[in-house]
Amino acid sequence: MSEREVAMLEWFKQCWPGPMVRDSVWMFAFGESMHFIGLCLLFGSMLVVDLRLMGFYKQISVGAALAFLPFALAGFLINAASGWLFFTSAPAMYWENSAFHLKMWLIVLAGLNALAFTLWEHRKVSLLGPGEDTPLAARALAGVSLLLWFSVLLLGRWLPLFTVGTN
Amino acid sequence: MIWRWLAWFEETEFATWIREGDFIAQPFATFYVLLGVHSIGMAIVVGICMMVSVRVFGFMRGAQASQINRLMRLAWWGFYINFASGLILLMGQPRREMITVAFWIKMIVIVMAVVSMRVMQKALASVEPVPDPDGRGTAVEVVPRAMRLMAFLIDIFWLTAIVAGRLVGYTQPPPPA
Repeated sequence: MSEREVAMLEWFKQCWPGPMVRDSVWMFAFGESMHFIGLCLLFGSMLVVDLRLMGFYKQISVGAALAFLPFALAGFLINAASGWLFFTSAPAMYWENSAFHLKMWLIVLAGLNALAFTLWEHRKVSLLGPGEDTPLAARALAGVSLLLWFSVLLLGRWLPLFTVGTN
Repeated sequence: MIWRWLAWFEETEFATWIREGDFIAQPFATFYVLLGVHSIGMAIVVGICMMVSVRVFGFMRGAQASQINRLMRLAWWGFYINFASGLILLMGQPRREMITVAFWIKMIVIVMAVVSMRVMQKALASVEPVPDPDGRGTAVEVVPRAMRLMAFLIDIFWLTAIVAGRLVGYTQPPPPA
């Protein structure tokens, strides 16, 4: 690890709420519970949206399915906040973990995938009613979205398998 | 008697593989692979129940109650995944789980959630469908108040199960001798 990386990680380590989490027995457990609740919100809404876009549950209008998207955003924000809590508690442990890096890149990809859908497909599909088919591009983007988010979930659960440092 | 049998079972190759073995290859420990599957099931069952309850609370009325109810089937598949993976995880160290209070709290609220899901599914199926006036899924069915309470309880039961599940890892006593 370079000196610059060490300095950066030390800075993260002193960021709020890192020191508080390290001094507390229960704050990490609280963060984990919040992370799980956030992921349930995120996956619940993404499943409704993406499965409809992929052609399942076709009797739900696409507009009605898309209306669930704010819950995905809420879930993501809860997870970003609880994720920050984890990271500042032991930044080096996460930094040295290859699964953590892959997880972060997959989240970026999922974000870009959502951006591509918003820019190119959202307007086209939002007026589709019950029983109507979505375009191939929207189906593909929805499939990729679910694949990415489930990979993110598994990588998160498997982080301990790839831990190398002790912070 | 049962306790002694469980102690014997924990020594079997299968239980040891769950606790300490690798699933196909390193570093994929069986225990963590099962935890991963358990998380996927949780995301499906709890996530879908949350979305269905949002509709039952009276939001997202663009989706008809009967169609939202079809999502409950997906929620049940999430539950089956969790039941199977949870049962196998339990086989790894049954005695240790059984002396953990949070484990029993989790089991009780899961049973309550499952019973409530069944009740809500039946109640949703009985909601009189309102004709869709413009064919664009603008439904306006209003579900009974009691069903809203049921949806609220399902969310509370699942959230309690999540918190209790997390606490199992933190409050678990050492494995019994």
